[in-house]
Amino acid sequence: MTLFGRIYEFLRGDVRGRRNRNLVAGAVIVGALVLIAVLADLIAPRRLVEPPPEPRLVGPSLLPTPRITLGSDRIGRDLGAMLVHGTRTSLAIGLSAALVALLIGTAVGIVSGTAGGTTDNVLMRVMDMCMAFPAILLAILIVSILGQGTAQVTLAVGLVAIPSFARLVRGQALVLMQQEFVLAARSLGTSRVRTVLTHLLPNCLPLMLVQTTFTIATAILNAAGLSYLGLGVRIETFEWGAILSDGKDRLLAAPWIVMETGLVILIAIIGFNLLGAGLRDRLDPRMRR
Amino acid sequence: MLRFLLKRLAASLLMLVAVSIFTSWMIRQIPGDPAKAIAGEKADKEAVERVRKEYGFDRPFIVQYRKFAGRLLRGDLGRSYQTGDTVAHEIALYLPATIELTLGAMLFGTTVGVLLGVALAYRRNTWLDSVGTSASVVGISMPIFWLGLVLMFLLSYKLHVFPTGGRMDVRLDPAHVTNFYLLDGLITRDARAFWDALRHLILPAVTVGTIPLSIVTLMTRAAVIEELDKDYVKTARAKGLRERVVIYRHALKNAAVPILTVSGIETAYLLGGAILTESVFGFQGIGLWLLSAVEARDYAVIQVGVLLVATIFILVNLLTDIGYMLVDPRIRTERT
Repeated sequence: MTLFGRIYEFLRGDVRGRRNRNLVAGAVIVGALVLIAVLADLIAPRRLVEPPPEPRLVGPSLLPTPRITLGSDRIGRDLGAMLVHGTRTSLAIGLSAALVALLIGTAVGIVSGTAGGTTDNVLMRVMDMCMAFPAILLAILIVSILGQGTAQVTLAVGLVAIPSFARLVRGQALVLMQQEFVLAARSLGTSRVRTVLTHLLPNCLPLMLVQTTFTIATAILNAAGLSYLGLGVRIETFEWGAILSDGKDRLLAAPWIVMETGLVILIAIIGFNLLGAGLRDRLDPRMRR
Repeated sequence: MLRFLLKRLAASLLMLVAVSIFTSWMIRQIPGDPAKAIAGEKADKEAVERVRKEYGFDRPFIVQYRKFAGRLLRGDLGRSYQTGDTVAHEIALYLPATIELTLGAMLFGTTVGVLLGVALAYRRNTWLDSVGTSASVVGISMPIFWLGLVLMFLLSYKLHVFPTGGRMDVRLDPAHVTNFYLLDGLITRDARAFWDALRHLILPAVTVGTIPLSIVTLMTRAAVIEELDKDYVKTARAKGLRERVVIYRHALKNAAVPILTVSGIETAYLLGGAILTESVFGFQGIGLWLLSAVEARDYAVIQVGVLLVATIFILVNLLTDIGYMLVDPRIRTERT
């Protein structure tokens, strides 16, 4: 079967006898965003996002104008083109942050879940402690330590996502450790590392995939929140939150900047959340049929 | 039950100590020289050194933390370097705003959410259910700083229904007793001040409350649907009880635990949302206060402020756990 055939079959899979509409809708939105991010330079040539020689404010127009369909930003750049290029930045931040959380969170969760005892207790209390702060506040603190910039913001929103990851994986590891096939492997003398690699991780994979998808959504949202507060990445990266933040002082004169940018963020977050929910239903064997 | 309570309380206290060490350590990692920040930009080297000695910034972290914790336990929260005001006074000024905001948001999110959730559960698989569920999914994904701006643009700038920001019309300047502006309005029997404070509170509270509203709606819907399929509901209906009684007295009561769980989780969204929303509406609360402290590297304020937010969070979680015991007899007996 071709790759596309497989993807099609995966999306068509029924959950509790009904079409998995969440999965399809999420996959379509996320797929479109990824396509836009990859083809950004083709869709919107770089020159469109260069500041024009003279700043001017152009409103959006429904008529098919040769350019600036979505209006201009504060200084006359093509807002639509900026959002296209911002897709690349925002998705990159979300994806990289989710990877940070996935790697560290899974490691913490697996160690905690398999080691038990004091190690488990200490690790989980540290995670609890990090969860005693609203994520955005922790991210603000981390950014004020690391400084501003794309890499720093990515790290900050990734780090704050670790605790929920770790808890989830630990919970799954605890359940799996009591399963007969793991007990059997253990009693046959399989080493702990081998048990983790061959039994635990593969069985945590669906859960990790689902959580990663949700984490991308929160990471994009938190990064945009940081930018909104003026603590995030610079406008030159066209990160969505930065564009929105840049336009908020012109809310009355140029409301479309804030409106359109926020709508794009909203659609992206909905896309990742739907994809996550769809994957969760699809990958949970109890939900099949 | 008492033993469980004490154990929970001890755990919370321990967590608070850990959080205070963690925040103190984090604050020290913020680049920049706190002594220089206090002494001012134009201060010469000697003055900076003097400040460094005076505040103990040259001492090791453990010594500084012990000093901080000691002062904290004696009720001395220190002074803001930025304003010179005591941190305790600033908290008394700004915390009420954030509490009003989050309580308002919670009230909005929980009451509307439960009512909506019950309505959707009762009409499951109808068009109303589809619309409500879809709207909730959108709500959960909402970038709330954007929602705040949209509400402000439409309802304040365009339709002039609500004021554009702040906590109160500056021209009113009523007496403040507690700094809870709504409460102050009631205490001083100043109807105009109360009304004005309420009008300033509504948009921010709706903004902060939207994500909790969506979560509560979905959770209530799911919990009530599960209960409606159970035998005791059939029995209640067979007895000829009115639908309203069946749903609100029977089903909703048993669905309370999952709904309560969400309310606990909500706090994180509420406090996080408050920071962003206060910034959108210029609503002078803890969030804005902390943000300006971070910008000015006002270590005394950041340290106490962050600790304050974590304390509120831990307290609410403790209260949620106690709430569980009150609504669910199974939990009550299990742990005694």
